[in-house]
Amino acid sequence: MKGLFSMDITYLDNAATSWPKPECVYRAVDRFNREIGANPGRGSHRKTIEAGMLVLETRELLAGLFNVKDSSRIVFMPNVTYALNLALKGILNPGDHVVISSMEHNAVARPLHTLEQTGVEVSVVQCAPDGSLDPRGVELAVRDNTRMICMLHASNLTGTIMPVEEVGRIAKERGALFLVDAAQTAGVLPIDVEAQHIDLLAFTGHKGLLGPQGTGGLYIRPGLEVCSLIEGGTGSLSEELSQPDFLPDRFESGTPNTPGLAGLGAGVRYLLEVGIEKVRRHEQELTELLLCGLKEIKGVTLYGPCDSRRQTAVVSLNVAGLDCGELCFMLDRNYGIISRSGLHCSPLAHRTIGTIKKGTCRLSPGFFNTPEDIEKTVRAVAEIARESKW
Amino acid sequence: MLSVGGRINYDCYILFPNHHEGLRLYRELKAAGVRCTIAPPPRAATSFCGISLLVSEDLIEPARQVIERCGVKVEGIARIPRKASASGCK
Repeated sequence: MKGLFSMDITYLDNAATSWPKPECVYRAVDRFNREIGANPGRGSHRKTIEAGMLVLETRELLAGLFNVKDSSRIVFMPNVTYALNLALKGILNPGDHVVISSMEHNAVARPLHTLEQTGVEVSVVQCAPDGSLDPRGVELAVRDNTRMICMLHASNLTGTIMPVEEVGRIAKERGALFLVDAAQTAGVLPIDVEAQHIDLLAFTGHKGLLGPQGTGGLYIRPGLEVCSLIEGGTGSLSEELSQPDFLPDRFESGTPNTPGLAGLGAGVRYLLEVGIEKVRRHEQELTELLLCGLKEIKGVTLYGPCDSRRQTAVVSLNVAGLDCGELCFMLDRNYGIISRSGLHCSPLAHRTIGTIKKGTCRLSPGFFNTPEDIEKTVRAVAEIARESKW
Repeated sequence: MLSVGGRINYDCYILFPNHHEGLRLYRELKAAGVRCTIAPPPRAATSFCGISLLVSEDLIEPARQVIERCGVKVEGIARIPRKASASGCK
């Protein structure tokens, strides 16, 4: 693929957003904008019905993917950050205690920091330097007033896969709610809200689910009370000034991102046709290839489990003598390899793995990358490492 | 008001809390072969400005069975005298 500087582009920033998307995603967005274009859930003309059907289908596809029995319990939002904010701020009250891991993203850490000012108590369970979490640490952190355990499914920094099912069991046994941040795993790893005891699942549509940016959502277990943060027109109970108490309307005020949701539906359908296991296997092979190649390069430090079975397709590294930003810049300018440097909005995780001062360069292959992309990347890092003054 | 042989005919509007439930039932009724039409809900019956499903009176019982089977949430069924040929359920 040719980029801005007429160079073959190798896109390895799928942990930020997946690209390219399957052709059917582009077509679904285009078709909606050209041929439908109406506001779903408002009125009853044929176009609003078509738009509403697209939204319903996407909701049901996601329900199937996450083993959610009632698809109305999945509410759409602009992204996973909104979903996490709703789950945290819509549930936690002063005096409540919440347990998180030391690998959490700012999408969790910042809302909780704000909530701490109001009297919500937060315990952070320390993870190992490779980002892994011992569930016993979570068990020890739970108190009588623990309202929630909140944890990411896999780290956006190291790819480390968390023991979701074990922690879900602990939450269930101790009577705490279990909120999972699936930003890095929805569409990549199997998610089953029943088997994993998940009460709230926050997901984004534009990464592993292969949909467009501006899509995401939250699954809310039936019976769970969540306060709405945004109120307004829903197309239902229009005479009432009170926000509807039923889902998805309660949390879906205003016109949704229907073109995005049409694309998200196409992305999920594509994934289901290909099979998540196949996606995972391919990404695991690429990760293994990348890890094996990078391990051989003198001056390269790798972070995380360094084991493709224990991580998603996310590899963080540094090259001795180089700032992570320089490495990222050189990969981009000299080789057309797209990566991301810095703190990745995850200062807690960087403290955990010991890179808070220097950051890392993150390489994150996706389903559409090839072994040749990885070989090219390994060669590029080897050349850069050889030439750096370390 | 449309009357046939002196008898007033009625149409039944199935009412919903929201579009989500309405569209779900529309799909289920179609699959079950129960004729229905998506229509604006009668203002007299609800403040929901979305959709209702218009079903002719003789098909309301099969429709009820579908509702029960698939667990769609409905607000109620409004029975309204037929004013014109609104029964054109497709």
